[in-house]
Amino acid sequence: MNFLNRLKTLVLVAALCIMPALGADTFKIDTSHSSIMFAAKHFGAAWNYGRFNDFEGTVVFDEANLAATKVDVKIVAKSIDTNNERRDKHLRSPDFFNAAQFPDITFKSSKVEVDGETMKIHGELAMLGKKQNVVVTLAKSGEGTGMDGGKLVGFHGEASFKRSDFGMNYGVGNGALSDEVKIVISIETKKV
Amino acid sequence: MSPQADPNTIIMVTLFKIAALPLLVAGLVTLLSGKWVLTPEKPPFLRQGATALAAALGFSAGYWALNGFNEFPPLLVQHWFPYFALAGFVLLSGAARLGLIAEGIAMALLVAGCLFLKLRPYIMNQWETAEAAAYLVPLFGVWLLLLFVGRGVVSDKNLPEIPLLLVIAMTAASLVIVMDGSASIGQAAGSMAAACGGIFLARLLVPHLGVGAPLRGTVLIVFGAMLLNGYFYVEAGHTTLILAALVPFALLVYWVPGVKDWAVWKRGALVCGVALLPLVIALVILATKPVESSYY
Repeated sequence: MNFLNRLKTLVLVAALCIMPALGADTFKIDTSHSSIMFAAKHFGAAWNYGRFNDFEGTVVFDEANLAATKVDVKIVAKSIDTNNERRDKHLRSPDFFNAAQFPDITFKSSKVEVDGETMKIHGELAMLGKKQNVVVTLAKSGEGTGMDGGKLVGFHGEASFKRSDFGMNYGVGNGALSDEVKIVISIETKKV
Repeated sequence: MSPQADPNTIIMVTLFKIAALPLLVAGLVTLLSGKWVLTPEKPPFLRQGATALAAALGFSAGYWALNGFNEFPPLLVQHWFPYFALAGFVLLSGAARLGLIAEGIAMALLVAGCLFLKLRPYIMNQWETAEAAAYLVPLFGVWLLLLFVGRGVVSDKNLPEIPLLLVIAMTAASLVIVMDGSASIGQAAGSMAAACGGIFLARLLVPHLGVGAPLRGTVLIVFGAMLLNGYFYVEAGHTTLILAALVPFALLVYWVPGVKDWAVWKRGALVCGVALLPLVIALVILATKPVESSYY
């Protein structure tokens, strides 16, 4: 193979390598149009929902290559809101989120499985000083153009995990609050 | 799925863990050691250490029953509580044999260690040096003063009402935290109150066991750590925490001339009455706070 052919091969390989990256855009979460909600069951009866009001993050997304999606989110633990200030204070305390010692909850994706238009985002959820693998089922919910002309993409997703895996055991043993926590996320992202 | 919860069962099980178990463990350790091991002819420092050991074991039993054993070193700062109690027993009982300077060094080491371990997340991640100093220096001073107040006014005297004063102090810490932030931290403080109650009751049968510096120090180390937790991690009200912190300073009534020579019941009524004052004020403040709908 002469030099020119080698160069062509090299350029082709390089192009193939960077093509997915070229197609993927980075989107920043617009907190004011997004919700991260959680729910736990109270005395085995109903799922009680709450939300976090302060979070940030990015989604690297290419509709043509969903497997290349990357998600990186940071939630401020003390921004928890269940529409009851007394309960929120208790949830911020060491009984639950221990927000003074562990101010942030983070999720960083590591792998994506694609099933039609749905993505199973495998990633590491870090909370209360512990890290566990969690799978978030995420799908694009729509897209549009913002007031400033920027591209918007929305996502909707769900996940669940056992809070005892993170050492959050309050009310688990006696069944007052479920060990299983459901997460529902609806995020609007804006192309960076 | 978690087993179906019956609220009455939850309350009974919790009460057993935070009250009955620590009371029984501390009472039995006091009683058994006083009856069969540390008889009246044994050296005073050993008889002083027995009640500190009873407090540490009773509290730890309640704490671990409530929270389970956790990794060591603890990841969550609140899980240091039992180790603080055990360290208090070891250091202060040992120092009681060596005299005042050794006691002072032991107290300073305990306070410094507990402050660092309790506030490490703030020291390492949040505070600048000046801010850290602004918090740590006064806290170190007040906590050490609290330990020395007892040492200064009642020395190593065997005043039987002291465990009752400690019951009131730990009850105050428990109530201001449990009513205003964290159930489990407040319940943990309740475990130490129950352990002190067990010591008080058992000492009615073995009065030769001491209730001096080792017991006071061991309990007040946990007491201070509870209030720190209340302030820095639980967001309990500052006024009520300060009122709770005032309770052990009821020891100062022993400085009133002649009080130490009063009859036990009269002396006990005075010191407990003075100790109850800030607690009652704190409870009134908590009871008159606007209440949102209960979420339990």
